[in-house]
Amino acid sequence: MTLFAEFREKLKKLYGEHSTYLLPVIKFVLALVVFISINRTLGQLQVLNSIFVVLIVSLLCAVLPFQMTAIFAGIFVLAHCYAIGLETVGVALVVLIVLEILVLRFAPEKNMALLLTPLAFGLGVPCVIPILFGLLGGVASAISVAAGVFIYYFIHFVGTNAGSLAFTSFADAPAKLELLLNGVFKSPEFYLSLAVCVIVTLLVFGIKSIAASYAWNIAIILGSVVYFILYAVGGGILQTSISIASVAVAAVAACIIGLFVKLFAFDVDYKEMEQFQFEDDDYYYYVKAVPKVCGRKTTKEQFHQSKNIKDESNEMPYHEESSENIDYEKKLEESLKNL
Amino acid sequence: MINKKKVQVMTNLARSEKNMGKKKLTLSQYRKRDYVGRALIGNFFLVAIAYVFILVLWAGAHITYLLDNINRMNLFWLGTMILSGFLFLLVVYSIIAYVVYVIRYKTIQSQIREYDMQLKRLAKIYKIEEEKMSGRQDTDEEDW
Repeated sequence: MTLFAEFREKLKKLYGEHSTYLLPVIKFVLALVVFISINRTLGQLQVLNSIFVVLIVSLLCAVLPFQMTAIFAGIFVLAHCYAIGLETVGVALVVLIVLEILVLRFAPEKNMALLLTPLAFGLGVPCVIPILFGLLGGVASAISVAAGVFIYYFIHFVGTNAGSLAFTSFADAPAKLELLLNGVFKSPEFYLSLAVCVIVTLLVFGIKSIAASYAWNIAIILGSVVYFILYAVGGGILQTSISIASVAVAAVAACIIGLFVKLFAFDVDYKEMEQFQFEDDDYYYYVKAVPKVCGRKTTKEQFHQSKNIKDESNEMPYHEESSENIDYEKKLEESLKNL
Repeated sequence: MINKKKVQVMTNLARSEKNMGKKKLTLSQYRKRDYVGRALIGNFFLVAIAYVFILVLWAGAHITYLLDNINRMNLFWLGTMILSGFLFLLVVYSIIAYVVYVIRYKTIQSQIREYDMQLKRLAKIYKIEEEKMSGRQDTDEEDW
């Protein structure tokens, strides 16, 4: 564990020193993965499927503010929908506007959720999203997660039914409109995923906020277990096509990723925890101090070590003065006197 | 010589400006009632737009039924339902918007207070520097 803590400190230092170059690289990779994922799911407009176009747009996203990646992702989705048919792009545009007005204008970290949720669903690890947003976000991040789930199901439905939704004639347009809207809004799988993700996000956030030992670990493990149970039970009741094995794999992966992220965000040593009680004129104080794990030793060990060194140096009959404590002026006077 | 304290305060100020954005800084001109009132008026129009779009989506999802049965439908009842749906959505979103914007206003106000404090600190540093400069000029004149 201390080895990891040392590695983490080095990583932090490296990021601190080279963040000017590292941040654009991270943004570039994220944009690239997101655009490739959108192209794989929808992939109707040949121009956007070209890797050169994807690379150029990703490069642009690397230097532009992070919101622009979400905007470009939206443009990609709309462009692919336009290639399918006019009614599809119309519905996609209206859905995005309604989502922005009713949900996203109140949601924090919305860009991150909108980009990462469809990506996690596409990679088969959707459980990672509610656990990460529950750990690192607030209560309101459940709204962002819910919006991300909706976007994924919309894109997924359009991608899998692109052939049926393709524009043929104006006479068929109403039937296709019905197919598109009912396909998304009447899918039991969508409502199940929406409910599970929101519940797990709130649960993880609620547990990690409790001032108890190992709260983060409990939140991650319990979140994964609840995710699995809800999907298994809900899937059985609603008779969805979600496989239990894939849900179990997603839950385990989310658990591992959550514990890894925890090491960066909240790495403390509960064994070294200390509790104090004291009082002043108005209050009694019950203080719980949990030391952070940093580098080779915990902060508490470092404190005790530095204290011991200080004590030893005070006990020593003779110790060399540090360069700051030397009074050069006095020494110069003495040497002049000798002369 | 570089004044370390001044650099520190100026860095804090620049960071606050970057985090809050110039738009939020102008919020100090508003009172809470005005800010929330303005946000609620905006909310009314946004909810109206969203409701129209929801109706369009709903109509799209039931377009075949609507086209077949529009002549037989009780339009007064349909209109009443649409209006009551809008009022319900408006009330719900007005409450949400009120709570969100009150919290936002309080958060931004505390950030602005912190920003003002930093500004005062900077002004104090400038004042001390000016006094030092004027003192040095006086001693130079006396020496002359």
